[in-house]
This record gives sequence, C-alpha cells and structure tokens, in this order.
Amino acid sequence: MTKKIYTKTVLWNGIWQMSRNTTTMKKHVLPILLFLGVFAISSCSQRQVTRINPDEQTDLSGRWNDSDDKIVAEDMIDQSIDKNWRTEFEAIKGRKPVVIVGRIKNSTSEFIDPIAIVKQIEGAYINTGKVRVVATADERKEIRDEREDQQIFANEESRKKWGKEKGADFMLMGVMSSKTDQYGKEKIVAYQIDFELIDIETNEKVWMGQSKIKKQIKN
Amino acid sequence: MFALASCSQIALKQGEINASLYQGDVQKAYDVLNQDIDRWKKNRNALLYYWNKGTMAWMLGKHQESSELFMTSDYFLEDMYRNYANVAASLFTNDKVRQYRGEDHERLLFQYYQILNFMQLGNQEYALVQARRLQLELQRLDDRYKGEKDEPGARYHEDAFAYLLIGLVYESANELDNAYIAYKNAYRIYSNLYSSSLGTDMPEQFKQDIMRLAYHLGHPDDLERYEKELGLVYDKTTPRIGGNTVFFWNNGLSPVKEEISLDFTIIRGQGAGWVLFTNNQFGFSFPVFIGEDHTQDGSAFSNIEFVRATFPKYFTRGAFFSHGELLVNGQTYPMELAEDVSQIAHKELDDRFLKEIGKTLARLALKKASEYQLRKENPEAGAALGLINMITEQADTRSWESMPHQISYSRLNLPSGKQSMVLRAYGPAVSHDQPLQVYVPNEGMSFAGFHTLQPGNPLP
Repeated sequence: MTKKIYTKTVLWNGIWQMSRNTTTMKKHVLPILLFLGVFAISSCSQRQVTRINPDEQTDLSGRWNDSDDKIVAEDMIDQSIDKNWRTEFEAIKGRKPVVIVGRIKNSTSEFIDPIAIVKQIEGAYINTGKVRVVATADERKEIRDEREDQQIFANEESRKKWGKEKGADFMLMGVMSSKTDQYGKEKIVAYQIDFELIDIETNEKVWMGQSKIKKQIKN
Repeated sequence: MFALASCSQIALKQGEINASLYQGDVQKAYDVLNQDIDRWKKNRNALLYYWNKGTMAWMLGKHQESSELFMTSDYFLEDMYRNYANVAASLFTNDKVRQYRGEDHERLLFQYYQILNFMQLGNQEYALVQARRLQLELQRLDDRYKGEKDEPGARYHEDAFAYLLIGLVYESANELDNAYIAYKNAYRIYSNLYSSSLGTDMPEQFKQDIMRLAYHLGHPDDLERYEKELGLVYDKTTPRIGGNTVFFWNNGLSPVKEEISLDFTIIRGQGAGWVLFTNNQFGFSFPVFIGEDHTQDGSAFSNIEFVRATFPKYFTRGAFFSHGELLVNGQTYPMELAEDVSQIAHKELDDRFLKEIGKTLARLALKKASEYQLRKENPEAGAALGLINMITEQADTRSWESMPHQISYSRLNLPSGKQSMVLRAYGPAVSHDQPLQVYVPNEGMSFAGFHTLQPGNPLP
C-alpha cells in the first residue's frame, strides 16, 4: 500500500515538474505526447458513410468485387453476342436462341460468389434483346413449387399449366482462375475467366471466349 | 497506461478462457468470448479473438460460425497494414501496444481449421479456395526468410503438414496432379526440416499416399526414389483412389508465452555513439547505437551500468494423452503425428530470439538515455520517466492459446453414410474412449476431427 502511494506521488510530482520546465517539455515530453496523441487519434477515428453511384468503379481491398463482375459480364457479352452461333441459329430456326447460364466454377484463391456473376451475365444477355434467358436449376425448382401450389389454390383462369416451360438451346459455362505474384507489400493478381457456350442437344461447343483482369495491389 | 490497462483486461479474460478449457468446458470458454464482442473486435488483439472463438466454435460443431470467424481473420490479415502510430508507440513502451499479427505457424494453421470447416460443411469449392490461399501464405513465409534457410539447422520457413493438407484437399476434388505437387513439397520438408529440427517423422500413411500417386500418375523415377529412400516396396495392386475419410486428432494445448528477464551490463568505450550490452550467464554481447551525445564523458548515459530486459518465452503445456488410435467396425487405425505445434512454436521463437534481444535492447537504450538526460535537468521528472519506463517495459506474451499441442491424423476407407467410430487416447496408465460420428459422402472425401484438451504439464 505504502509502495503504491509512493509510486503515485513520484509519478504525479514528476509530471507536474515536467510541465513547469519548458526546456524539458520541449526536449523530452513533447515528442512522447506527440506520439501518444497520434496513437490516440488513430484509435478514435469516426465512421463516415456516403452514398455513391452504383456504376462507379470502386476498389478498397483489391479483392474481386461488383465492378469486376460487371466488367467480365459486359466483356463476355460483347465478345459472344454477334458471333456465328447466334446468327446461324436464327437463320436456321427463325427465332432467338434460348440460353441458360450454368455454373461458373471458382478456381481462384479468393472467395468469389459465382451467383453475382451469373446474375450480371443474365442481365447483360437480356438487355441485348438478341437472346432469351431461362431460369437456372435452383430458380426452376422454386418456380415449380409455386406452380404446384397454384394447381390447388389459384382460380382456374389464372392457374399456370404444366409442360409449358421453355427449354434452353445453349448453356453458358465458365471457369475462373487466378495467378498471384507477390513480394513484400506488393501483389499482382491476374484473373482469367474462360467461357464456353455449349449446344444442349449435341454437346457441341459453339463459342469459347476469355475475359482477363489484372490488378496491382500495394499495401 | 490506457493501453496497458486494456491489455491486462484481455489477459484476465484469457485466464478465464484457459481455466474453462483445462476443465474441458468449451462452451464456457466460448461464452466468455461472447461477452463484450465489440471491445474484443476493436482492440489490437482482434486477430486472437477471431482465432480463439473460431477454434471453440469448431470444437462445438458450429462450423458455419467458425468458418465466418476464420474468414474474417483471413481478410483482416490480408488487409493489415503497418500502423505507424502503433510502431512508434511500441518504441517507447513495448510490443504489446502493436496490433497482433500472429506467429508464422499461426497464420498457416488457422487455415487448417478453415479447411476442416469447409469440408465438414460439404463446401468443397471453398475448401479448395482455402487450400490455394494456404499455398500463397506458404510462399510468403518462404520469401520472408530467403537467404537464411540454407544455413545448418534451417529456421522454420516451410510447413510439411500444410502441404500434406493441401494435397488431401486436392485429392478430395480428384485433382491428383495438384495433390502430387503438394505431396512432393511435404515429402521434402518432412525429410529435412521436420526430421532434423522438429523431431517429427514422416507419417507412414503419407508415405503410402505419395507412392500411390507417383505410381498412378506415371512417375516411375520418383517412385523408385521414394522406395529407396524410405526402404519400402510399393504394392502396385493398391487402388488408384486412397481412403475416403481423413480424421484429425488435435491433442493437448499449444505452449503459452511467458515473460522472462535478463540482466545486462552496459559497457561504454565502443566507439562514438555505441555501447555494448553484455550478459555473462548466456554469453550475449550486443552493440547498440545510442547517439554520440550519450557516450561522451560526463554524459548522462555513462551513469548506467545494469539494466533488466524482458523477453517472451514459450512454456510447454503439452498433452495428457501420448498416443491414440481409431476403432471402426472392429478394425484399429493408428493416429500418426503430422504436426508438432509446440516444437514449431519453440523453434520459431528460438530462431528469432537474437533479433528479439536486439530490438528490446535498442528500445531500452532509447528509454534509458531519455530518462537520464531528464534526470540531469530535473531529478523528479527523471524519476517519473524512469517509473513510466519501468512499468511499460513488458514482453509481448500474446499467442493463439486454444491451438493444439500436436496434430495427428489417420486415413481410412469407409462405406458412405453416417459412420460410428471411437477415438481411443492413451495417457499414463489410462485410456479414454471418445465416441464419434462422421458422415461419408458417396463421392469425394470426408474430413473430420476432434480435440482432446487435457494438457500434460502442471500449469503456469
């Protein structure tokens, strides 16, 4: 107990003495206070939230984000939409091809949600007005449950019939891979997404394309 | 002072967590971490919070929660930038005020838990992503110690178990070429660093797995070399696909860091601006540059003769059980040691002990020089600074304390569906049977694990 009181007295006496002596303050105490001040400020920063344009490209961590989903989807559509597979199909069948977006396999070293890319691609396909897009396997299951429900609970004129689903002509599949080159605080990540469009009836690969994104990340 | 106060609070909670773990009460330890979550997340021990809670959630079978915690820690590490205010403050106080960045082996082994989580959740795609991330961390580790590793008694700069695990994940996805590359790395490391410096022999199961892949992937030269080096003859009738179930046994608790102190004598006359810190007990001698002002005759620093420096040192908690086996459908499968976490932790700290001493002495010299200069001008203020310096001189004793002492594994072939097994662990003159259940899928592989927490040594 006595030791504690003595320690406190010495400490506060010393700090009081330091504050009285300007030379001491400048030479020894100020740098320490400055460091502690910076330390305190760094741990007390306040959070700010600002709404930004969803189309704006943003990069904070350097990891794959919504901007990349969008770039890849638009690049893939640009590359594939006016190629022979579609024009020949239209010439033979006299209608727009029906496409289903299948699995985009993630072989990168990042936890990327493939659903987001699938949705971007579906949206970009529909917006071209040149192809029709049908629901994915998971979505179909939900829709069939709803249709089944309608058979019991909906009135006859609004009830939807079985066997009217539009079958897809082509399936789009993709594989994402990445290569990371890193040293010290610098990292370069090169992503490559390989797409294939496959004729569902014949298994023929009617179109193949590649989209690339390269990022330099400095810490 | 504020920083120290918050550190002691964390230390207090760690004591509560450890006490619960020693009693085998994982739920209680988990509940302690569930109090004041925001405070844990915000402070400089956030990484330890994610790792400890992630480990306990895994032990409690909460794999989704565990994987979310480990994923947060993964991003946290990836985004961690050097906080210059932290570094500057640590120069005047101690390393405890810095953001905890994890030991090298900790940054690898949290990914072991994450791979187990993903496999147990049936998310093989994410298990593969984690395996690739583990490869990147292994590359970072290797790059960090480039140039030092070829010396005799090479430091811990690569991890055989991490490569073994990566290989198993690739095998589970039937990517056998990638699995073989990972196994080749594991083989090299088990044959060198692990057997010579860490006392861990190559597991027999692993020997069979690497020979099987060498044979079936068409690498006869490699197979011949393995047979020769291991003194084994490979049975060429072994099926191409290995056992579909891998069981990991986490045994005991990892070592904890304690503070030790060493007394140093300071010798002047080593050239302008330099003093020599010596310790006769261990034969240490470190020159430290403190600035020319402080080594002139009559300067304040000349008054110092002895100084006490503090360092972290591991205390081994070990494991009560020395070995174990799996009992399934009337058959016995031995659990083989694959990773001795305690040995690695000790080696890592020993490898950088001289660097720790150098860093601590440089900090002490800076503190002492300012203290004595101030004492000359104002004795009371000098005494106060001396007290502050003394109070703030502490070793950084933080570590991921819920990790196991050792990791063993066994690989077996089981029929698909829910399977019952018993993990039999042997202690001194006693054995313990732990009933377990694993789910084996129709295709691919099943990963499972269990942690026996009982430590082996009297606790500090």
